Amino acid sequence: MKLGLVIDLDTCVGCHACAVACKQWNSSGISGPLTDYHPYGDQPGGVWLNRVRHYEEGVYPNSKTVNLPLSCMHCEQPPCVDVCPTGASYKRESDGVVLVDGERCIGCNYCAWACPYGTRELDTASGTMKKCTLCIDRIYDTRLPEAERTPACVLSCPTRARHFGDLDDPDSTVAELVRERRGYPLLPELGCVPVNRYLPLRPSAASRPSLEHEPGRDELSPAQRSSGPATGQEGAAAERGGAPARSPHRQQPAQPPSQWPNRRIYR
Amino acid sequence: MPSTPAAGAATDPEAAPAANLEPRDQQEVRYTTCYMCACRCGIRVTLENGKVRFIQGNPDHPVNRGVLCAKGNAGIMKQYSRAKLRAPLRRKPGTERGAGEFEEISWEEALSELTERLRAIRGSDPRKLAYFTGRDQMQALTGLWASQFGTINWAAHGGFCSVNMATAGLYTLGHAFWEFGDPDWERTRYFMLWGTAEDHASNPFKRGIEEIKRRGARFVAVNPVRTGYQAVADEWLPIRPGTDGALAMALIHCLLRDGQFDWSFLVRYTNAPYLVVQTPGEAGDGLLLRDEQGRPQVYDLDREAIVDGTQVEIAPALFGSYTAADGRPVKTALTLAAERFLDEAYSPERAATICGIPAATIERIAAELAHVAFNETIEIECEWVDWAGRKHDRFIGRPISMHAMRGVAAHSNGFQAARAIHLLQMLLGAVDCPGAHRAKAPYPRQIPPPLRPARETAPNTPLSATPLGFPTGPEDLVIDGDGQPLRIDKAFSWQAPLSTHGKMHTVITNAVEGDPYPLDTLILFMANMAWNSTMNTDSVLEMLRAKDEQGEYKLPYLVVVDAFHSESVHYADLVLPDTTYLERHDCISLLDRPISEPDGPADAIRQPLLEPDGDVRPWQEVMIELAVRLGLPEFVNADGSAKYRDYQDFIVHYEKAPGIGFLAGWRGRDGTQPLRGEPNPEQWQRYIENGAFFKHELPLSQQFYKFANKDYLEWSHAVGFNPSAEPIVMALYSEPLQRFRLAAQGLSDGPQPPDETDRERIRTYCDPLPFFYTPLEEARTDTDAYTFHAITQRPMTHYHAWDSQNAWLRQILAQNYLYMNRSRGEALGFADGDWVWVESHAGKVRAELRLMEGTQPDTVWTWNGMGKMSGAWGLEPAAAEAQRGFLLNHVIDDRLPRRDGEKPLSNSDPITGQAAWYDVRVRVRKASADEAGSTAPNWPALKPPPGIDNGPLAVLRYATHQAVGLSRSVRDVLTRGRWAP
Amino acid sequence: MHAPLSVILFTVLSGAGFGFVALFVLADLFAIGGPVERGELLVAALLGLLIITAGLLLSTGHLTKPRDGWRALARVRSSWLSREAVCAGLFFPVAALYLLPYLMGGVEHTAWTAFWALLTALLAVATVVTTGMIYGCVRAVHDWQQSLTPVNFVLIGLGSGAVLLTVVRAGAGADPAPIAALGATLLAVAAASKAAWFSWRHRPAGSTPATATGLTQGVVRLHDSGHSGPTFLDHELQSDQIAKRHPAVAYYRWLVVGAGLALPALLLAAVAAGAGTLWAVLALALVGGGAVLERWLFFAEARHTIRLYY
Ligand SMILES: Nc1nc2c(c(=O)[nH]1)N[C@H]1C(S)=C(S)[C@@H](COP(=O)(O)OP(=O)(O)OC[C@H]3O[C@@H](n4cnc5c(=O)[nH]c(N)nc54)[C@H](O)[C@@H]3O)O[C@H]1N2
Ligand SMILES: Nc1nc2c(c(=O)[nH]1)N[C@H]1C(S)=C(S)[C@@H](COP(=O)(O)OP(=O)(O)OC[C@H]3O[C@@H](n4cnc5c(=O)[nH]c(N)nc54)[C@H](O)[C@@H]3O)O[C@H]1N2
Ligand code: SF4
Ligand code: SF4
Ligand code: SF4
Ligand code: SF4
Ligand code: SF4
Ligand SMILES: [Mo]
Repeated sequence: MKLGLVIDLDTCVGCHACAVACKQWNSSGISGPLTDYHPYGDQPGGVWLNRVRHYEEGVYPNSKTVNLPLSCMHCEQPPCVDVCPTGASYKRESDGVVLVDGERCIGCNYCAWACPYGTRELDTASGTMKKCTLCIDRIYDTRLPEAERTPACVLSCPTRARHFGDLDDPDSTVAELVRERRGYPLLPELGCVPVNRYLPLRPSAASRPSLEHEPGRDELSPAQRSSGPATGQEGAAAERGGAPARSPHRQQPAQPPSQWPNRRIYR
Repeated sequence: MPSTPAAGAATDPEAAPAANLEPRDQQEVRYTTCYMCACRCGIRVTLENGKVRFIQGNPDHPVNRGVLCAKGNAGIMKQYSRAKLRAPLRRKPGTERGAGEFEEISWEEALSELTERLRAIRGSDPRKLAYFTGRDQMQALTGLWASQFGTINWAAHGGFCSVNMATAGLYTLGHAFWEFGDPDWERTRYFMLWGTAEDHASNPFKRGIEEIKRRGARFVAVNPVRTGYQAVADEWLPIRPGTDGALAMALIHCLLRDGQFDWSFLVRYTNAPYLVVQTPGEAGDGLLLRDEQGRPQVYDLDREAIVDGTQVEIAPALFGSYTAADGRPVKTALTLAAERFLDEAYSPERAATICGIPAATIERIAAELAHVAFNETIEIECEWVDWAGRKHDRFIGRPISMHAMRGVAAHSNGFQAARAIHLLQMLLGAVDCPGAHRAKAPYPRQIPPPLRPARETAPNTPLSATPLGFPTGPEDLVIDGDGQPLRIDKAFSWQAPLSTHGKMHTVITNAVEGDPYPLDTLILFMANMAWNSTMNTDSVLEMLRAKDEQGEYKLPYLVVVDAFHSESVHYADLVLPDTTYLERHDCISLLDRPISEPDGPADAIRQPLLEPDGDVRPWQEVMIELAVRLGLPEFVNADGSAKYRDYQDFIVHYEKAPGIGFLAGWRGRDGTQPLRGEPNPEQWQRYIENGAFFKHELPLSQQFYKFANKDYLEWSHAVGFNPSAEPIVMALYSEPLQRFRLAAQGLSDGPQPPDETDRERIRTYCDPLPFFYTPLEEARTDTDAYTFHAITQRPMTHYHAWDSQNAWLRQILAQNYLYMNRSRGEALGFADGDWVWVESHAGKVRAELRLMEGTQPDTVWTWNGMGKMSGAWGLEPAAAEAQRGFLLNHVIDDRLPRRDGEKPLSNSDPITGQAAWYDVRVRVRKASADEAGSTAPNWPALKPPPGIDNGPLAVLRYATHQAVGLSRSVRDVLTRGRWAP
Repeated sequence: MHAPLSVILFTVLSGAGFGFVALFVLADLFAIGGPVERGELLVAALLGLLIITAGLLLSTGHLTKPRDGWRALARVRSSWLSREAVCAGLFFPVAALYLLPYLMGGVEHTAWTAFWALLTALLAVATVVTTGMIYGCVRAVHDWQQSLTPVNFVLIGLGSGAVLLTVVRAGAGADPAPIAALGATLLAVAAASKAAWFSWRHRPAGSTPATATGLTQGVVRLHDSGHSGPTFLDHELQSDQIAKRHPAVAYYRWLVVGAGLALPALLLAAVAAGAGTLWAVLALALVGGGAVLERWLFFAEARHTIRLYY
């Protein structure tokens, strides 16, 4: 198994719900509490396992704003695990989840240096390194209803931009999404082989009408071409293509609207 | 749904312990409704030993269907906020207001002091009590209370919020944007979002946007700033603030010019074919031609005659000028619209110069709208019956949906701009049909809803109507014989005839200036009006401290009902501490702001899950108790005893009309009647069993064309949404506005504006057809000197003032910046991180600058409500919000720049009185080196009242139980290989 | 990146200490500059071990649980930090075995003592290599990911050790010239190698805002990092800001190569050519300062990939 997250940048609105859901769940989760420093002070800070960044791509007026949630990628070749001298950081063989055993962690920070994604944070109060647990205490909790055995961030995401599952299983939703939407890893050149994938922005929506020729004018559907009286049942049929058959303006451009030809439409 | 690996749990040795990580035996799951914001999502709360373990979305709830936003997820930190008020507070006798000298008093003391005062007011002039509520959504109760008390000076936050939008909708479509309808997320093919950052339907919007993107529908965002929703739009139209009307009307221009409009929709469902009298300078000009029965007239193409326009079997002309039987010239409403919008003034080229959006783009958008409306029509096969009893075998959908919010509403031309957008929807036939913007019950309502605002007050007498309503002409205004406002906020006066939600933002200024009269007591509930929901904040703070010659406060008594230590609390004479949303009974009622969905009405409750941790009381309970003490008729029996045990009892048993109460679910003795039926003593329990909400799904045949859908109309009449089952004819042409205009022209018999200023404004702005005008404040500002528009946006992580106390949310956003377009900023010599002065004609504020691409070059903006007064909200006085964050409100004036000989005018939309937050123009200049690093204006740190600690706190470690770690075996540590090659 | 003083001093001291010990062992074994007397040996051993121990103790200074430091021995299989701990841990007993005969009075070299001597030297150098590799293997810091990183650690360690040894040998009355010559050579190579390291640092990094985000349609800029206050990582990894606050940073590099390495090399060369030992003492001061500055720059200038996200 290769459990991980697939995050859709095309619908992520950057709302931080996933980040706070993560904070909330994990505060009393297996690595909680997630200490907050100076919570009411000038420079509030604290331990978060998931943070959302906001980027801009391109230049006004063609710029795009892209929101990028970042949590542990559960790398297949995790440098954080390699460098950890105590074995506190480890990658589970069964499902690929990268975890920290707080008992063993000596707080050397080496893993945080080694992680290129900045997804590990030291809790100075407990003296241990903390990171996304992939909500290991949810996804295997058989006492939760099936649909909720999913990470808190995924459960919460209002735009359903986050998906969780087994990327090893070609039939899983996540694998399918990655295939279909060409999901990609971040910083691929560093060779950490992240499991988490990001779905790129979709090309502009399919329904954008093609408007090479003058729209709607020489392109009327048969229904729209029908004109004439309509009433009752027929009226409903006429409604289907309710656009007028002709443009009054085009026909008699010089006429004021008070003289535009009327269509017989029954009330 | 994600494939869960749970199946592996049993077989996976590493995972086996995971099942025991949560002490489920000490946990309990309960349902209630979120109130981290007014979206009111359903939540499922896991409690552990009396503490909150986890708040998650209720998957069955119609509003959020399981998802939860950032705020909702941070409920724990609101519940355990250290800004929570602990006990009733009284300003110490002899100390100055605003000095922060409070003493804790008992509830009995607080309530008897207040009752005494209120009894005196009620016995003399009940108007001397003004009761204004901010972000609450329980106006059914507060409104009832106020009318029972007998004061017309009651209003909720709508006036400073989005009343432009609501009123435009209710006078045009019978429903509106805001909370009154939703885009048809499932079906729409083309979604145009105007000026919306979050809106109230916060989670539904996010869900919806994802849905339309997944389906490949097109999403066009009109907004000067590209963040949030606009970030994921297929197309971004960076419009210049305050010009949406011009854009909408240019689109109308193109559609009319090209004949791209829904002929039958306009004929059948709107007043487009109605004949309008054309006798300029004479009484009756611009009103609809009506017969003796008052029925509007149309020109029937078959009979070639003017006939009653409400009949069936006629073919009304959409265009043309005709002559009425009495010889008066008439034109169809659509002819008037076409004449207006085909004018060069509304050409795309002209609009381009106003909005900053290229004419070719406007042309293309118009063409796209027409294409999708008429070539991508969708159909739902389903029998339905129209108002005239005609059967149809399908619903035709024009899958274009629009939605707009405060980007349009918060400008003084927003009412007409919103009307223009509604006209656009009507032309496309895209109203409440499949794929369009759909009304949510109890909408659509009649145009306008048949409620007139109360005017008469008398000692010890309840009002005969509600304080708020929908005027249809000058006769309905709340003015005295001299044409002067009767309400403290001057709502429903000539200065704001359709101010259907009141004008909260004016109350302090008016009361302190005694214009139209002084108040005795002002109760503010859930509104931070001394700070972020007021304009001109610094002078409001002064006004709250202002005294008359006798040394008495000009606003004698200020009662603030809040749950937290807000800036307003600091200026109160009496502070009544409320509970939090997890501690009280509440009801989200259809009589109020509905949480309905287009497919049917819904409502919800809140139940207390936690014991309050201070001597605090739910304000609703307190209101009921006050009502009993004061003997307000609806709340007491004949013998003066309390009619209702408590608020919950009230919710279940109170009937507004026979069978209609605060909650619509499980009515009738046996709980079998949805929406209308006798009170059911078991009702509350049924809500709890159902996850704290009720949803009634309409049959598919009643879900669309509700304005003309016989079955729906009859049902909505039966359950009391509408006073009759008459079809709702949309108002392309707005006759009520013309009635005001006629009065201003001296062409009607009723009341007339008392002075030239009012006359001129009514004449100009109460136009029955939308038109574009430059926002009022801008028109009075030297725009060469004040080169930027300054606007604010809702941050997705914060709710107005109240989330800065939240230890988690403020880590995401504790300081706001002034954002400016990068190349514009660089050209002006600015760099990221510069400290700048933002100056308007009214004031200035200092801020840190950030440059970005996604901002229209003439616009600067910031996140709303971030700046705090030092020492408030349980924050350390040095908190970023107070020292570096800033409040744009300092530069927004509550009055328009004064013109010679003119009376003071509120900085509002002249029709609805909507606060014009986004009209302000500013200039930006670099602050000097020694000014950099902190905001200004700034005040000395507030002294926290008893019970509130705002001292330093080094760490916060919240958890409901000791973590059970997952530990590795030594063997595993030693033997596991390395991963990297 | 954050440059904690404890880590700077630790790497400088342990590098110099191990370098010193390694070279001393060779001097002893091969009687470079004359045989090593027991007294000199004990002084040198004490000095070497003191420096090394001080360094290692400092290295636990940035652990949150220094008393659990022993746990760091667990992952030799993959972690250079673990390997360093193991090498350093092994060094002490091995060095003790090497020293044992001396403490007991004997000074004659046998194959047996030679074995322990060489092993001691080897472990000393190996420890410095592992220290270098701790940083050299971090893919997230492009600046460090050079094969020259561990080479530099070793060269600077040996070079500074050689300067110290020159002084010690001279102090003990032996001929400092051969060691000085060796030291001069090491430092010269170190200077060249560090210069090369500095210039390689500028090779284009593979990671860009585009690869960090996958956005390829235009200039990619971080608009907002999504948190107002500082995070742990800001403090720990974002401190290339530190270097930015020192406008003279480019000169510091010259200072390291010139005054910290090349100049001491020259001074040692002079000593080798017969100049007074005082020059070696001066060299020692220079190389000490140079190494500290070098290490500070090493951290302070390092750009971690997270700057693409922060
Ligand atoms: N998270 C969160 N949610 C909230 C609230 C909150 O405080 N926080 N507040 C709630 C309340 S009370 C309200 S009223 C709603 C408001 O909901 P919104 O209307 O979404 O609120 P604003 O942030 O005022 O959004 C205005 C948007 O219009 C844009 N804008 C400004 N001027 C113009 C203009 O002239 N034309 C156009 N086209 N766009 C313009 C701004 O850039 C901004 O994106 O949100 C509600 N929901
Ligand atoms: N510059 C600028 N100003 C604006 C706006 C803008 O866009 N730009 N937006 C305007 C709009 S649309 C609105 S709606 C207003 C909103 O303005 P307000 O209605 O003043 O909203 P808040 O600032 O959230 O203040 C609400 C108060 O309710 C309190 N509160 C929270 N929970 C509870 C509770 O459970 N019980 C009680 N009793 N009190 C509680 C909070 O502590 C807070 O003091 O702001 C307006 N001001
Ligand atoms: S919750 Fe979803 S939409 Fe919001 S920031 Fe996270 S991924 Fe993006
Ligand atoms: S993202 Fe970082 S912490 Fe997570 S596995 Fe990869 S390297 Fe380790
Ligand atoms: S901080 Fe803890 S988890 Fe990270 S490398 Fe050090 S011991 Fe391992
Ligand atoms: S999977 Fe769990 S721990 Fe990881 S980011 Fe999501 S909520 Fe946080
Ligand atoms: S949108 Fe968020 S804060 Fe508002 S009610 Fe829903 S979950 Fe709560
Ligand atoms: Mo609002």
